[in-house]
Amino acid sequence: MVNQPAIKKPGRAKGRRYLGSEIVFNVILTIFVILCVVPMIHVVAQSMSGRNAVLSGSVYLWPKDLDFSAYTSVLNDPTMIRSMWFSIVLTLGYTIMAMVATVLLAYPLSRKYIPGRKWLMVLILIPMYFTGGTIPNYLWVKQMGLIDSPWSLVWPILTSTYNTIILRNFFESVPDSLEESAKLDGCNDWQVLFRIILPLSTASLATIALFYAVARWNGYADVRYYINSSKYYTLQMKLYQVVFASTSSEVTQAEGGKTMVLADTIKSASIVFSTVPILIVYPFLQKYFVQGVMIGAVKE
Amino acid sequence: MQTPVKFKRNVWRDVAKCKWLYVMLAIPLVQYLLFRYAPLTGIQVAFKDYNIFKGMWDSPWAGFKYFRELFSSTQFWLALKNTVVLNLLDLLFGFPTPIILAIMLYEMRSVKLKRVYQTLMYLPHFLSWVIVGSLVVKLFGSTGMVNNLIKAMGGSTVNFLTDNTNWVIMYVATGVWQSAGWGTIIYLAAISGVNTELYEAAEVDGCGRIRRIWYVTLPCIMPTIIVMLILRLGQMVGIGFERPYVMMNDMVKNVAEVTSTFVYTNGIKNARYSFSTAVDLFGSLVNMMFVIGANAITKRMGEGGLW
Repeated sequence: MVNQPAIKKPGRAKGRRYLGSEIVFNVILTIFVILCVVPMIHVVAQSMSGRNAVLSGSVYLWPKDLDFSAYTSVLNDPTMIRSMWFSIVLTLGYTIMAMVATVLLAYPLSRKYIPGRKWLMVLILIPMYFTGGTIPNYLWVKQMGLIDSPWSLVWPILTSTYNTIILRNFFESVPDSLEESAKLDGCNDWQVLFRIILPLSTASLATIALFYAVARWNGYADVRYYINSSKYYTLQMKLYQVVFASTSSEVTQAEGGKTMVLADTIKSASIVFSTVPILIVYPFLQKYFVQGVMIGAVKE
Repeated sequence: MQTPVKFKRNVWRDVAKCKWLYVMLAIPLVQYLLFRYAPLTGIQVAFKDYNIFKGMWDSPWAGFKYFRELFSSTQFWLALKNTVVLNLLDLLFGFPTPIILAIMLYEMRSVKLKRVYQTLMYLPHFLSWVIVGSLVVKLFGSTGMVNNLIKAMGGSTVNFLTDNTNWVIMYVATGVWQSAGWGTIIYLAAISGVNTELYEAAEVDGCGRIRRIWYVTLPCIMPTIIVMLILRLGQMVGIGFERPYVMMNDMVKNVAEVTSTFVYTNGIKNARYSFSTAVDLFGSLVNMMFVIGANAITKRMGEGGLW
């Protein structure tokens, strides 16, 4: 769904020209597309199947002995629900904060007349190429007392330089005359930003907000690094435990030594449960993300 | 005498005019200083005997002790080798796939079908690595779908995830699966930017479809390909944490332990801060050399480069 209009291509007149390559291309693409969705279909089928059918290994892409008890167990697991809520709250809170910070950074940088603009750009670009690395970041978060605090999942990644540049480029494209006339009418910079620039940029703001939200929702590494208490486990962390519980020894330690081998159906239901939020917003995601990639590409 | 004074006054007047802009900048810049620049001071830990109670500033200097330890550690070299091998394989299979898919998608006749295909192809990109890793286990584990299928057809279980070679294949294939569809976007954009008159000219000269793709489409999107390639080459030594971590298991540690997981295990789990900071620092220095080197090569090739 790239928003590219269906361009009329030359050499593509009606009839059966290039039939051979057309068939080959379509077959290859179809295989790839099928591979993209088969894993998800299998997991959905398994999550809705009876335990014994799953154990005997006869569930492939269609549920057998329809049974929703796996979902009941997942929904009755308080830790799962808590992780879901924590993930939702964290993602929403983070996205709002990140958006505020990104707008406040991108707008001044988009004004060509601000003294020191070049230096400010250098200041925000350097960390894109040179970072302290995992351990210096970890030690710093620790020193700030943020280990095991939900803020460790917000502050270090509050703004993304990449998103800031995309938004800055968009703000730059708003005609200067709008700002000038507003200033003549006595608007200050805040009013220009909130009454003129932002209302004109809703599509880009939505794109960037989705970038942030998906990154936070899917993010796993920083939760692994900074969070020890299961109180602040995000859904991804919880899912990791559920699915890999029987294979990984560290999980059993984290759970206080009690080994839990979960039924395959429950694992599948958990995977579906944590994928559903993404699937619900996917139609919006796709449209805006593709736009975002395009804007980003223009920069290069 | 007068000119510089006048100049100076103007600058301050400009700054005063922008006072609200600077106020806006203050919040995000504090975050930059606190969480992007301040952590850089932690790099010194690589050259110190870090002591938790003394903190990073008061810990005694250790010189290059941890770098020597690093270079004599077979574990480290193994992790570095695995990182480079996995990245090279990723490049070999993961880089051309989106280009090929994009060209095929562009050549597709049915616009409706093309939209549907794109929607489905982008989906894996939005799944987190934890979910992708879970799917891999579900499909290729010893009791996964593929093994069930093999057994149903009379074969015997294949150790997709616990055999070294198979694991590497799975790792690379998963990467292609997750990112190839999404990767087509940038190339599709490049292809739709190709001047259609060139196609007509090729047609007139008697080019078939394949030859048109080879002689017109590919050369036209070459600059995009080169830029993407440089970006890729710059990441040869660095590797994300989530994908290898989620896919790894104890049976395949020899091929699956990479620098990022090595740093995590040593640094965060076993609290060997100085040693793992040295690993990190060495990695980012080599990485920077790769970026600069790749850029120099493309410049020499006449493709412009990144800067």
